[in-house]
Amino acid sequence: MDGIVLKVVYAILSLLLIFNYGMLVIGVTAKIVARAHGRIGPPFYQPYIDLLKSISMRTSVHHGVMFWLGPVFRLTGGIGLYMLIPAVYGSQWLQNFSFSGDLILVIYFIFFGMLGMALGAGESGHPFSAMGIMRGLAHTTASEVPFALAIIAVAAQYHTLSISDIVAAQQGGIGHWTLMTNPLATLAGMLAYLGMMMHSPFDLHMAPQEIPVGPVTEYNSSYLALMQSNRSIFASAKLILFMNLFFGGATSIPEMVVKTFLIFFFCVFVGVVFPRFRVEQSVRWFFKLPTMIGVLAVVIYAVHG
Amino acid sequence: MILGVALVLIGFWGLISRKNMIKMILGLAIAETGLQLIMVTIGYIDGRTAPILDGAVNTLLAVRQVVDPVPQALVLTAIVIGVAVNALMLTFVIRLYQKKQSLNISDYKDLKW
Amino acid sequence: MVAPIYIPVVALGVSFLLPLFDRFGKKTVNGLFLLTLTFFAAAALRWLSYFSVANSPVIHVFTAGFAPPLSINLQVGLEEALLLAAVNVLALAGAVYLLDHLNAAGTKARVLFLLFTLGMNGLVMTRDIFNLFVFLEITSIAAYALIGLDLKLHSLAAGFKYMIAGSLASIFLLFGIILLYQASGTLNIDGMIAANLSAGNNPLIQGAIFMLFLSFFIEMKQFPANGWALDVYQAAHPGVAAMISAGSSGAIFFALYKIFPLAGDSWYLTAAISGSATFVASNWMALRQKQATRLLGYSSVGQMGLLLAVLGFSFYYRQPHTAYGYILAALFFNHFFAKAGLYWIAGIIKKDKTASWAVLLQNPLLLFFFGLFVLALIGFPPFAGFWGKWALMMNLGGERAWYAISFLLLGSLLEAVYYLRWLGQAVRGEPEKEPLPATDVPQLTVTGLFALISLAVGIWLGGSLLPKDFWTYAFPVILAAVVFLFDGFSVYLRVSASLVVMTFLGYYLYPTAQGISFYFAFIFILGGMLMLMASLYKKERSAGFYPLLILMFSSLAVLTVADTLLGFFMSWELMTVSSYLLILRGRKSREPALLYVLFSLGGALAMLAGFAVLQAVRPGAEYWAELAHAGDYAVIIYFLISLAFLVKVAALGWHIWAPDAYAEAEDDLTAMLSAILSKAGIWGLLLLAVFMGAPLWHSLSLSTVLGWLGTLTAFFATLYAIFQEDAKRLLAWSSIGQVGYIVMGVAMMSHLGWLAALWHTLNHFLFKGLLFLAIAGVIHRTGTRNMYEMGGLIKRMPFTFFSVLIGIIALSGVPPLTGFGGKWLLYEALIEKGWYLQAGVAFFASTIAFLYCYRLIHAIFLGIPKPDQLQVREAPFRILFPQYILIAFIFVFSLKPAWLLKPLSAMVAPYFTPTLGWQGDTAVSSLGYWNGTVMMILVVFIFALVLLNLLWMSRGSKKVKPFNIVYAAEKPDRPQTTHYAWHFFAPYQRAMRPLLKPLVRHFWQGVGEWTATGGSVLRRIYNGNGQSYAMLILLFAIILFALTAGA
Repeated sequence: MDGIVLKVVYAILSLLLIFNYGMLVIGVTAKIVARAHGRIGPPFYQPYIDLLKSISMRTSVHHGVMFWLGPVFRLTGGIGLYMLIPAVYGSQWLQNFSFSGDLILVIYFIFFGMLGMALGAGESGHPFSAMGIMRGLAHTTASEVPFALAIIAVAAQYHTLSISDIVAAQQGGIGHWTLMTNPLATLAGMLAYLGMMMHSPFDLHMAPQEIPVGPVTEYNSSYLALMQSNRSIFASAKLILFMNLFFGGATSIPEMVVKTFLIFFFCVFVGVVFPRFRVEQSVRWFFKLPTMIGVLAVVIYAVHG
Repeated sequence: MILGVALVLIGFWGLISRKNMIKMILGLAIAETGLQLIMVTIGYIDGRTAPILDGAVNTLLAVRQVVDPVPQALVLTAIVIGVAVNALMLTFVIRLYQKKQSLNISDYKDLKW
Repeated sequence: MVAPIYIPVVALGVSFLLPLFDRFGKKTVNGLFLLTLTFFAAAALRWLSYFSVANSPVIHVFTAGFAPPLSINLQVGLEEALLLAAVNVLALAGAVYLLDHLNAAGTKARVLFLLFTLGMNGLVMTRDIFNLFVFLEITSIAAYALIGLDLKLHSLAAGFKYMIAGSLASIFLLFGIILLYQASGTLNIDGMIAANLSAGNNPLIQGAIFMLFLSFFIEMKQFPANGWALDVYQAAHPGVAAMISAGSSGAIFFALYKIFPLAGDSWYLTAAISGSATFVASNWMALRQKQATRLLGYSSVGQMGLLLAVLGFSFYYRQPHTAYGYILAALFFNHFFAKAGLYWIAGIIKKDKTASWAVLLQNPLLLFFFGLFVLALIGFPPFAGFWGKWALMMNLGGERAWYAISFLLLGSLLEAVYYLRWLGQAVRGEPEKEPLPATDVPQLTVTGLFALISLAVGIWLGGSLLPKDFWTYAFPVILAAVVFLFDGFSVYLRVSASLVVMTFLGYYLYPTAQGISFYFAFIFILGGMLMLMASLYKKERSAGFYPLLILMFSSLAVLTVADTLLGFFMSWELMTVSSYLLILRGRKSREPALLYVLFSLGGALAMLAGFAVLQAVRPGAEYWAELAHAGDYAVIIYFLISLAFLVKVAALGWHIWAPDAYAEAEDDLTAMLSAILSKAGIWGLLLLAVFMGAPLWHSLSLSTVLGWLGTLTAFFATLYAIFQEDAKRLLAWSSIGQVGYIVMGVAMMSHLGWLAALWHTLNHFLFKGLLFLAIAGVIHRTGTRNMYEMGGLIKRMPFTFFSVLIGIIALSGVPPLTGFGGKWLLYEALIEKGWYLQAGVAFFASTIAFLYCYRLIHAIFLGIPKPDQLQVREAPFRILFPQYILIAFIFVFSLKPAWLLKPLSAMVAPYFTPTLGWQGDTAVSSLGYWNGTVMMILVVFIFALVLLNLLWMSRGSKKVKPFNIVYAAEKPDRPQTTHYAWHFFAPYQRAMRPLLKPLVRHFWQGVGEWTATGGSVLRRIYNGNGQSYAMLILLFAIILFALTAGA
């Protein structure tokens, strides 16, 4: 019983860590992007302000049970996802609940929050919500393809689907990272990652000009707060996942912070440079280069046996 | 025999070349006649007499004196049947003529495919 | 017992007497007429009962007191007695049927009918070849006259053409007889056979034999010398056509059967070729035929071809009286009763066009008979045609007669096409406004009598072929019959009765089914019972619904314990026909049901061919287990048998029936089809894999092919699903795709792969049953299937919404529900197997699945409601209840996957070394691990925490109505128009356009189109001109000559 209690305590601590880390990353990024645009930009703690503002809203409306449950699903999805990924290799308190399943579980659990969120937004009845969801879903199917291929290639490379084992196999210097040992898979994975982070040029689900903020159009007050919290956790969880898969994982919290920040910056840079795609453009783009690379990565292992 | 075969062939020719239904029936009748001729020929044995047990034939030696009686019996039956069929066909032609005032077989193509 | 000689004597006597009795009035004449025919029938039946005792001596009658060859002799043995009984019963029934028609033409018509009967009897009994000729002529002349009796232009013209053909045939016949007489010196058939004439190479004798059989082949209406027959069948009074098609054709066939030993070897093969060609060609040409009686004519001609072909094969393979006797009898009697019955029905309803036969709907009894006859002719069990077809194929397989097998199967598929189309037109055609002509009771009675005889003969023949486990295989039919007794009572009683018989079946099969077969039996029986309960949501169910359901479920269940090939095939066909008839009940399901049954039938015939090929390797193979010894033929056998299963699982390429059939079937039936029926194919594939493994074609394993097929099915079906507007079509495509995953699992031939397949089998049953039932409830309340015509129903139907929600979560494989278990097993298995690319495609497909899942739930339940649906009520409790049982199962297996996974692992263990281990509740594969229990607890825990948090934070939150959405400060005038549902994934559709071409559908459409067109071009040879027909006869003579000389 002690083991369980200890695990729960660790998990809560781990969650707090990642939540704040996520908030800061988002804030810092906004600042950097603003500077790149030549603006002063918001302070780096702006996400906290936004969150507090949402929570303390006096008006709060909702459209029904599913609308109400949407954010719950969303945040559960984010927290759950993080809980399934070992954040720091070798650290006991940052192992989370990764013993409950392997990589397959993780990638399928990503959909949990998305689905719940989509359902909640759907009940709002706002056409922009539905449109945003349609775009998001369509785009996701495309970006998942190279991602899945990359994961398959990684699994084939290490003969395991356990994230801990994959990280373990990459220990011992940069030369052992998947980045070096399996560059094709890494490339496919990182291109997919651009899509999965849903930043520009793949921010079509919330395209400010056409369907202002998309799915969350109707969300307000505490509902929005839940989503904002999720945003930080979910994004961080994904960053950690990619770090674990391709960049050797992390053996300490600073290492994790540095690596994930750099990974995040990859997508921020791309986003600053490229304008937004249309749905069919984004879908087709993923089916071309990234998928081809992914297929190549997989075929190498299929042929090798 | 050859005559019979020739008649059969002529009959067939008539059947497939004449458009007139009565002529077609005649073609069939000719072919039948030819066939009957062949049948009789087959039963015929040189130097023997008709298989009728009268004064001309010794009852006991009949088997050696008369031609084979079986084909002759068959011919008789065949003739009867042939006549019956031909008669029936002609009736049909009459009825058909009453309906459509034509004897041309090509005019009765309502049923096809 | 009556001496056979009395038949001709009485017939002739009464024929002469009848005109004399004319003055006593119509009733006396009819009385005497029917009395005579009754006497014949009674005498024949008496003989039959006499010969049914084994080794009864054959009855011989010698005329004029001499033994043959000096006299004409008649013979009645078992075979003759069978024929005589059939012919005389037909004559009596036909006379009853035709009585009014005959009366209208006066006494002479009845005399003709008697002579016709006499001719048929004589053909069967006589052993003298010239006498045979005489009887043939008597029959023919009587037939000519009977045809022309009504003096209609068409009948006369047809009769005239018939007479030309008949005269030609009789010329040839006589020619042949006289030459044979010359050669053998006898007219007695037995004497001629004993003389073994065909052995010598004497050209005269060969010529004689040629003439003789040419004549008989013409009488057997061989292609292309059979145009006259078609005209006769079309134009003659249907009662007369029935007599000719069943009666005189049958008698002539028997006469041919008698003299066939005279023909030499070259003729045996020729008969087989000519008969097969006739069978295929006439069924092919019939495809575009719209005239009911002419269609029956094509079919009759085809059946004669089939009989001749079988006769040819039986002699060719030197087995005339052993196995082939059974086949001939089965095929003959099947045709005999069914064809007569169909002509009679045609005469009763008096509709020329097959499309107008929907008029039958006004008389359910007649429709029932029609259905029985059609199913009999297509060869569905338990009719005689089925057993005949089976035995024929097994024998031909044993002889490695591949061409014969393929041609005959092709012919019977073509025959099925038009018969089933016709059945569809009758059941689901445009309802006719004109009332059905008043039905004549005697006519209906004889038709019904023949339907019953047909059924009885079939069951009797089946009994002799199914010695082992007869009762197991008979159960489905018996149980259906039991439930049929309850038709007409309240729905509750019918469902209760159905549940009772299903329980009984489960109890009966329980000891037999083990391992995987138990698992499938469990799904089929308990799943079926659950669905039966759900069917209660509609108060009204027309007759036949529950019996057919029971037939479908119980034959499915029997499939799981069928260890013999025949038992399996029979249950498979029963399942196919019952599901077809069920689908046909949908309001617009004529075309979809036809497509379904044709594909299924094609698959079943391929399976039959596969079993036949096995006979070549393992003569007399009866059991599934013998497939393991297929040797060199393994690849082709595997391929052929798997076709049947691939059709049932709607694998890519054979899937085009599925979306329409699922969409148009009744709503709760669709649930059964998708959740339960599609698993039959999976069961079959598993069986095949168990016994045959994965045969190698060169170096390519067939299971790899199967794996790719499953993968692509999963992908394309899922892709199509997202663009559907119709909820049921969407789920239909989804079903196809999901079953594709199961096929992948089976194809992997590994422990994990099969676990994935089995897990997904149950899981798909659970969530797809759930979804289809939920949607059925929605359709029941809203009256539409189009999703964009709904919206916002979550407020009106919250329980149904919850069902759908659970359904889509389980479907999409999102943890923590059961769906994920299937995904996890599948990917672990795929990666373990090294099928990386397939894994990638499968993953892609499963992400696409989110699209349609979301679309389904969003378009129906979320968004803005339609104004006219604001008052819609929740679905009936009777359909919700089974859904919640399914949900309960989903939750149990989500929380404790081990409860299902461990037994499954044990089931698969006999076939593959287990690669799945356990650490507590954690399933450990060679690659990864998964603990469903912890996952479930974790998610529920986090969910609860977040929920409580939000509850606290959002206290005081106000609920707003769906209609007060506002954007850009404007409230839309008609908010329902902003429900974003129609064409939901339009951009995605643009992106995916290159993949969306319906190539498969086009391919099959092309096949159908070209086949039908080819047939309709070919049938132009029958240009209606009697002279051309005569030329075709002569042409046929030349072809036949070439064939016999060549052989």
